[in-house]
Amino acid sequence: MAYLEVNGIPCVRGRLILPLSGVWVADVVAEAENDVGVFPTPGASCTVTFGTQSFQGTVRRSSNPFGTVFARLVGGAGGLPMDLEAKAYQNTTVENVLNDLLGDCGEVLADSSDQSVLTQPLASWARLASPAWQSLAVLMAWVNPGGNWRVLPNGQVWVGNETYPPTTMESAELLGYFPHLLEAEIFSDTPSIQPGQSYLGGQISLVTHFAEPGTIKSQIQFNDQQLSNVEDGNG
Amino acid sequence: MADSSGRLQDAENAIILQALPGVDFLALYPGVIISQSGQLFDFQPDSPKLPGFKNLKFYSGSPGVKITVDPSQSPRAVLFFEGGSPAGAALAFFSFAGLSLLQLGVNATQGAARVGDPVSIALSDLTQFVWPGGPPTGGPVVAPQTKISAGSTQIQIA
Repeated sequence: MAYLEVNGIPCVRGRLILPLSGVWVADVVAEAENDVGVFPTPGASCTVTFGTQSFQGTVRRSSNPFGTVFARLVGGAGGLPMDLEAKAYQNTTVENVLNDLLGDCGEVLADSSDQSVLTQPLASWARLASPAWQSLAVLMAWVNPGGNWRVLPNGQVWVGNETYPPTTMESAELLGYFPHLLEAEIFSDTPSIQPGQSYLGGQISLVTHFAEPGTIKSQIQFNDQQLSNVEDGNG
Repeated sequence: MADSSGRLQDAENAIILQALPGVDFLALYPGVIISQSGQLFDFQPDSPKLPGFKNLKFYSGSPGVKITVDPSQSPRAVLFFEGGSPAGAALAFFSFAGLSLLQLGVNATQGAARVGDPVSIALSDLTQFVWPGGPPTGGPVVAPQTKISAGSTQIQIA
């Protein structure tokens, strides 16, 4: 079993970018088909596995020169780039506006979203004709400034405020820490680390997993703060 | 080359939109008044980028102003977002076309009259009246009726 797979089809190489706010993206290189099946075409849903982690997404675009697929996959149903029509609301809630927005582009609101954000009343709201992600970003910027939204590994869209719980990643080897970049590199067989968690005393803002022939690593970007565990030598 | 520059422009636009997601709400959008209920208005912006709105407030820029429009004449106004917020849609700047009644100083204490308005003078209000050649004799006493024949184009009603 390869470390990085799409619908069970092993990938030669790839990277998986998990942002604190936004849509996760996977760029992969794989065989166009093998005995497992055919690589999914643009618009098709897919399951990306990286080690023990599983991600529900959609093929955004791909090319297929010489029997090798180069593809970009995005988290969720792939609907957030979709242009939505303008809509006006009165006497509603953030949850209603959000469900409407996500429903119009085929995405699903995560049950784990922050209820204090969802239950906020909105006497009026205007959604301009724009890509869904932009309407989502505008809504969140106004009703929950300082909060975030992102597509979770299960493909659902989460909105809320960060609590930065410690990562549940079972084991990891620290390959390097670059304080000027607020960045660490790790190796883990079970890289369940996520943005919005904390690791080495730092708040994680971005995780990028890399899979190359014969090697894997994960790059972790932290919010602008000191990493007490690393700098105390306890990393 | 055109294709690559187009992609570059798309990328630049995307970056700008990400950096300024609310910039669209800082613009003014002209459109048409569809209907009116009290001092709330249903409005259809010209731009397809915006939805139709119901029950929008009107900001006249002056206190105590009430407006009545005739929707059949497609009265025009301008939509803006108060505070740049998507939750702050409101109207301002009516055009005169379709404006059927403009009431100023709704809560003011002193009324104003216009040129051509009739005037009725009660005799009891007259404190001094001089009849050239002496008062007339016989017949009923009637209050004089007249109208305002000249006036200022500026009024102070508060």
